[in-house]
Amino acid sequence: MKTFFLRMRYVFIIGACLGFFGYNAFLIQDSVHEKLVELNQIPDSNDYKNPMFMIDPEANPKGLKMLKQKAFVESQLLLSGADSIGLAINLDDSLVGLQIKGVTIFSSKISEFEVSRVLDVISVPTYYKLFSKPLSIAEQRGTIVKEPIIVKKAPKDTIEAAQAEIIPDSLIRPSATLEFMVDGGILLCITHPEEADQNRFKKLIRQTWHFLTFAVQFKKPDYQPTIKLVIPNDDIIVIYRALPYDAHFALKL
Amino acid sequence: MDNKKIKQMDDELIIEVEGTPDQLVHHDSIEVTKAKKSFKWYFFILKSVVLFVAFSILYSYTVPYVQESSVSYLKTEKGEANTDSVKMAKQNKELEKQLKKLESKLETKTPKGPYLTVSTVMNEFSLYKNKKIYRHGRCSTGSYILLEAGDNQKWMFKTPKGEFHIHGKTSNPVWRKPDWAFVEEGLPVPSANHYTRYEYGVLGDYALSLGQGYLLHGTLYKRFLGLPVTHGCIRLNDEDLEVIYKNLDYGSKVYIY
Repeated sequence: MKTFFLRMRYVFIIGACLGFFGYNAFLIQDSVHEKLVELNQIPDSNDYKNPMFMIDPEANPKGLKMLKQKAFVESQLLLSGADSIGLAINLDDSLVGLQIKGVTIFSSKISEFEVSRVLDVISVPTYYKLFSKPLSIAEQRGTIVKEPIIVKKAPKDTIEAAQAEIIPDSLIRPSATLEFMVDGGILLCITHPEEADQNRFKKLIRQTWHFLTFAVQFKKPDYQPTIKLVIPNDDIIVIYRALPYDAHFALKL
Repeated sequence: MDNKKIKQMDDELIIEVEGTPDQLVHHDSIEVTKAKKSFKWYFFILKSVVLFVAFSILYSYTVPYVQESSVSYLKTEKGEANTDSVKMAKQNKELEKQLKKLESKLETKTPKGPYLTVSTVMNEFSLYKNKKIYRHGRCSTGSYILLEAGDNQKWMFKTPKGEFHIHGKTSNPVWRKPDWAFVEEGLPVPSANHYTRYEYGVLGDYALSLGQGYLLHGTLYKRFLGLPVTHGCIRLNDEDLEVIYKNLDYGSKVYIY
């Protein structure tokens, strides 16, 4: 009997692992469902009866497209009321741009993008309520500094001044990745094409650790609907350094 | 060792204990078995750890897929929807009307006249005329140097971002050197209207004021165009400066980002 258990110990371990992860898979699914319910609660019951939102996405795709554009323009108009620079992301046209007072001052072509599928299945009223006003960025995380400040002590005399002169010979453009936490618990990631290969291992470790902390406690992992954009590195730096800390953005899916 | 007989048999040390002839204690074998057992345990733990790590990585890869694929099984609240083609056409017509109105409102936000955009990251400018790029080129913007002097005096050399207007236009401008220009050169700061404060020809042929002491002007250091080297002003080469000077009027908008 003892030998049997000893021989079968790996089978038990693998079985236990599968059971553990299987149970967590259920929790994961549930977290997505919870998020969708949470998002669909944004509009009130009257919104579901509003004739403007009575669009069946499958029967009337043209109507849905126009409603999405309407939400985007309304959001941009509200954004234009602010004094600071805002962001406008149009996934339909694959464009991301900086706007100030309704004027597009910079735009960049999105080469690739990924949107969490939960944002595709939100109800029409939810979409309109969520995206017809600028989304506020609660937290910004970047792999580069927002302001590349160089501290310089005043020289005592002209000789020291000549020695301490800082003249750059080229523009330094470090590799940049941005993560913005926005309204509705949506995560906006902006990366450049080369980034994916550079930090693959680091990401894997971070992701594993993140999910394991939930799994070992048998807790539902947090589900963040994510929008991932890939644009050139220089454009990421331009966007990050132009946006204020309390930035807002308009989004069209 | 009186009551023990020790025999050497086949390279194995056997201790025969008196009074218990069938109890043979194999000393070396015990050691080997113990070592083997502990090795087996270490190996088992190691394998378990490797398995767990492998599962964890597999799990973390699987989570996003499970999350995304589970969406397919979720039912969304659609609410009531018009499926009648006549109602849908009416609905679309109304949406189209509202959309046109909103888009034309947004359109009016872009200046009809010439305006300038300046990127402080790329150190480039674009002059727009009739909402199209008329001229594009390099410029120099703030260096982001924070100059610290004694007496808690600090100056930050950065170009401000946002919407600005042309406040004034000057040809053959004269630079009135502020205090930081002397501090930065390690020179004593002269009195407010001392003659050493005035420098001629260093700002190029023209200067356009953006307010708060910030200018669009020319430069003697053309090799630095395209680099962040200024004290906050925007430096341009002579040709670009002339075009901008001639196209931008008082009140023309300048967007710096």
